[in-house]
Amino acid sequence: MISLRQSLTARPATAPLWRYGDVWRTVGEVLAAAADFAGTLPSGRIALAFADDEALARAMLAAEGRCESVLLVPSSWNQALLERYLPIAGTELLVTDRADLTGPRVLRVGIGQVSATPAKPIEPGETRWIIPTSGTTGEPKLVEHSLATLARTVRTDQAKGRDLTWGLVYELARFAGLQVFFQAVLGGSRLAFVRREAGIEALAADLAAAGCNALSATPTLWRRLLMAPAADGLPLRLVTLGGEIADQAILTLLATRFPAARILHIYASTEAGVGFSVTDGRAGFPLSFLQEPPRGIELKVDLTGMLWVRPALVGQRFLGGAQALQSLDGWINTGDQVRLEQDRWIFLGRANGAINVGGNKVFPEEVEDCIRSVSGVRHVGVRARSNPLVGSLVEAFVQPDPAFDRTILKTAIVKSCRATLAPYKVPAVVTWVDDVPMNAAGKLVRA
Amino acid sequence: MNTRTIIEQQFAETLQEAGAAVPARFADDLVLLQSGLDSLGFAVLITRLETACGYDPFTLMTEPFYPRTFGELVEVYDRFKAHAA
Repeated sequence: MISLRQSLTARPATAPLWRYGDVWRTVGEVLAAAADFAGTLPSGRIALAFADDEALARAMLAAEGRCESVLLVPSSWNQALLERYLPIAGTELLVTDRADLTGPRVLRVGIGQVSATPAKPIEPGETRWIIPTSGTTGEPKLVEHSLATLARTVRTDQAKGRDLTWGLVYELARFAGLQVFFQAVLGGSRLAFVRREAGIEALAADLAAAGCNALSATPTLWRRLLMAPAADGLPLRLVTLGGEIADQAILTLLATRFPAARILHIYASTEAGVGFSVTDGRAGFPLSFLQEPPRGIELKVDLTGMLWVRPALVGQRFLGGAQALQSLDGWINTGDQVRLEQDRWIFLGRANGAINVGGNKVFPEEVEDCIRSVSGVRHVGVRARSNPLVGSLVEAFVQPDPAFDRTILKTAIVKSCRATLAPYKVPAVVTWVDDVPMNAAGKLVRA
Repeated sequence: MNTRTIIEQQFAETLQEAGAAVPARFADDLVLLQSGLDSLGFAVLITRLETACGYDPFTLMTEPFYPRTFGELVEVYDRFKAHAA
């Protein structure tokens, strides 16, 4: 596979590459900065811990081909987590712009450094990328990838990518953010870094200012974006959803709001590398995928409704743990449950995220989909509430539209749930909240 | 509001949502499992009462006790009233 820098070198040096703050930086500027920074890096195993995504992007370009391995440290990690995982990754040097982190050997870098020093040639070699799993449902695990496994589904047709500007709404150090970054760099497109932490309005305004026409986000983030006026004018041609289950309601809504866009939802896991994408605008995936799998992957569903994947290209492994990534025959258990509905496999949720109500399994997603369809509900999350008689009950936390009367809204929610869900799935409690939390990965927080 | 009133209100609301008839008055000898609430409905009621009263006697009690009548239910909540948040 072509390296990130090789791909960039093939572009005109004066072409804009990415937008950061209010400034577009050219391919030449970014490559020069990366080459300059590479001179300060050792050839061994490093960790990159950056608060600033653009600085991280430059550091990644610098480290590629120079360092044996690169651990990408999520911004949510504190010193304690770092100390636990640095030895597992075998890190020799921590490179960071964060004042709150220290390590045995640390290289501190400032934010916003761009050097005009002419590029020193760097020989491309095989760097291993170490990516932590999100740990939403347990301890983070370190997964080691090659660029080839990480960027397996990236489209490298630069003629098609040339006209695209991708918005980076995910944290770059995370799997989903890397997908967008690699797609922009290897696919010949531009990239817009946005203010991710400044609220949905600021994020949408940055996307609009950059002329973003290709965007990958979680369904949770899309729902919020669709409520931001600044997102109205986005000239979207490519809309992708990932990280959570894309239900039919959000797929249909996006198709209505962005009629010119090609809409696809991606199924992926950090463990397996990228999975597959679905482009027909319908939730779930076709039954035929089991017999005629998407490129580079095989799928099967076991008797308990668990989805397994077998990547054709096996280039990743867990670090430091006894847990095998794959069974001996190459299959990876995704931990996701599916159900066949006519000619379609529908995603139900994470097997370990189900709520156990007196022995009956409830997937929060199904209840959330039902409540979200009620007029007056802005955002909703569903979680387990412990109960002395049946173990757990379903609790819904709802952010209402302030224009709606809460008593009437609550009645409508309960009525809708009773009409479509089994009795044990109907929320026992509806709690009003000012905000339904979303984590750095753009996923709904149910805890 | 006293415990009995809170329980009557939550009981009536839970019955209504379940599509069951709400009695004209909640008598002490009303048998809970004949009230129109099934075991799931009763679990739901307990959770709502935890929110409304600020405590859950069934989690607090050391000896498990399952009330059979409305009067016993009120008595259980009264007994643990000191734990109200």
